[in-house]
Amino acid sequence: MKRGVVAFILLCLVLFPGVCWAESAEEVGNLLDELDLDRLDDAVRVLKDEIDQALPGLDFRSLVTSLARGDLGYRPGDFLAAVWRYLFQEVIANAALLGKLVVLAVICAVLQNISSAFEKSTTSRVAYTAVYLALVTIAVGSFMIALNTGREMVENMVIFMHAMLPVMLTLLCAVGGFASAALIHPLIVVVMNMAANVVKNIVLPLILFSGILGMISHLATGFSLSRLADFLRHVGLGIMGVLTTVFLGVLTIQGVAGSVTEGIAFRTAKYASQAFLPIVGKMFSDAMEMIVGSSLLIKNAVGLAGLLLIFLMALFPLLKIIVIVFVYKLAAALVQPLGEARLSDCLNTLGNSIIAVFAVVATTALLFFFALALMIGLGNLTVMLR
Amino acid sequence: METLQNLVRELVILIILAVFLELLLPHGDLRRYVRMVLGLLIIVAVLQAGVSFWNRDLAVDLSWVSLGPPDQAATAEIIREGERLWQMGQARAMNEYEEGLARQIKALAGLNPDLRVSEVRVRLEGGAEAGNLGRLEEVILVLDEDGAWGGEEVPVTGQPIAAPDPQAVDRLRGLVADFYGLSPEQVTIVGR
Repeated sequence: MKRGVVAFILLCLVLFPGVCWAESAEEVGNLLDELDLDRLDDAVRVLKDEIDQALPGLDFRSLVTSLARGDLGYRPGDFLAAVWRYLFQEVIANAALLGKLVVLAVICAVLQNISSAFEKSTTSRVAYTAVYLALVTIAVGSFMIALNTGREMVENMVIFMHAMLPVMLTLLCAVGGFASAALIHPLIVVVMNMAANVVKNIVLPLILFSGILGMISHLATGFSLSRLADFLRHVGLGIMGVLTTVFLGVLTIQGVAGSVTEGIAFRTAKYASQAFLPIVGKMFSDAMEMIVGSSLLIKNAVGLAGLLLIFLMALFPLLKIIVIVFVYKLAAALVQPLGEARLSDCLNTLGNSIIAVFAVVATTALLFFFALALMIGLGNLTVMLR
Repeated sequence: METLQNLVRELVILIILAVFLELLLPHGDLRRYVRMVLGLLIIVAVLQAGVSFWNRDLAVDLSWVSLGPPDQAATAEIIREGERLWQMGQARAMNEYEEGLARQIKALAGLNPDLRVSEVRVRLEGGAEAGNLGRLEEVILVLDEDGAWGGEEVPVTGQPIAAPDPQAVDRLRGLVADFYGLSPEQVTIVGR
């Protein structure tokens, strides 16, 4: 885990090797006016309700302008307070679920313990089964909420990325990355759609099935399907692992190949102009450098704004999911002392399945995050190699 | 996925059935047999799903994954738009370069005390070819000797109507040409 965090920080440092913030706001505004940001604005407006809680009055264009000036425009303290508020609201909203689960579990435990008081123990077992099924129904309901939250998040991210891609790639061309843009656009669209579809239609359903089988296998004492449930979950997570490897591998190799080719081509052009045009050759390449530098600044600012929005888009649904996990784990912990191992295990299994949903959704968000970071890095690499 | 969904549905039904049969049946051998039969049914359901997976054409089932051919038109549109921005940037760079160069040549010409250069214009190679872009094609130096040429721009040749020192003109042409690696023909001196 620690290694992963360190790797992530190093990757960020490599991808954003230093952005020059010294350009004027007018320069940024002029170039931004040349870009078609309508689709991006529409995509951000869809997410406004959730993002508004953390960054009120967010507007993509003004966010890019503030980032280009080196100022986020929001205080980190306010942002953290908003996140904390959201988390607390979710805990309060899920308190009712926790109450229901614990009350049903207590009823189950009481029925189990007083079965000897009935003339036939079957009566209490029937009641127990009925209560258990009611609990499973509630659990499946909240599981579906977590699953749909994840699915919606992936869909929103795809919409946002589809709006973000043309802008980023146009700016990549503006810094001279024509080959990279031509190479990466069809590829990134296909890989991104494939990743989203595989997550929505294969991985998340597999985890849902695993959760249902895990829950139901605690119902009947003699028929445990926990191994099948584990198998389905592992298949789902395995597919996610392969998908992540393919996604990152393909994008990295294609992106780096494109920018290296362009880097070499531009270096040749720069060398040629400086060698054949003594004195003035340097002046011209300096002027070009300045123009490309300002385009690169805008591209980095747009990319950073995109990364911030992707992060926010992922943050709130993930918080929602993690609160549901917390509720199930807490309910399992509270129920265990009642002596109802089956119920406690059932709630714990469900908690684990929702953690798997969390992992899948977070990994998908990270993939989109990396795709965007890679596009930012491509421009930097192209310019750096000049 | 549909096969798997059906399998899970069947398994849930079988488990619930097993629970109720266990409640309804009396203790004894019968319960054990029923449990065994239900276990077999579960195995059959799982195997059936596995076999149906085996027999299915996965290429058809997973056809949605590839999402058809990539959108070439969108890529072309992005490249076109990027080209436009690139050209805009290049035009700005050329303008700034041109202005800077003209100022530099004017300053250089100003070192010559015999002639007063009032304006410098430069013509640059605009071709996209890597080695030629921005190459200096022609330098035009405009002399202004208080309207010696009647206000109209006329070339200052070896036999000017009212040329100042012709040797000074040649010296200036040579200086600019040598400094910027041009041939003397590429430096035009006009009088106004």
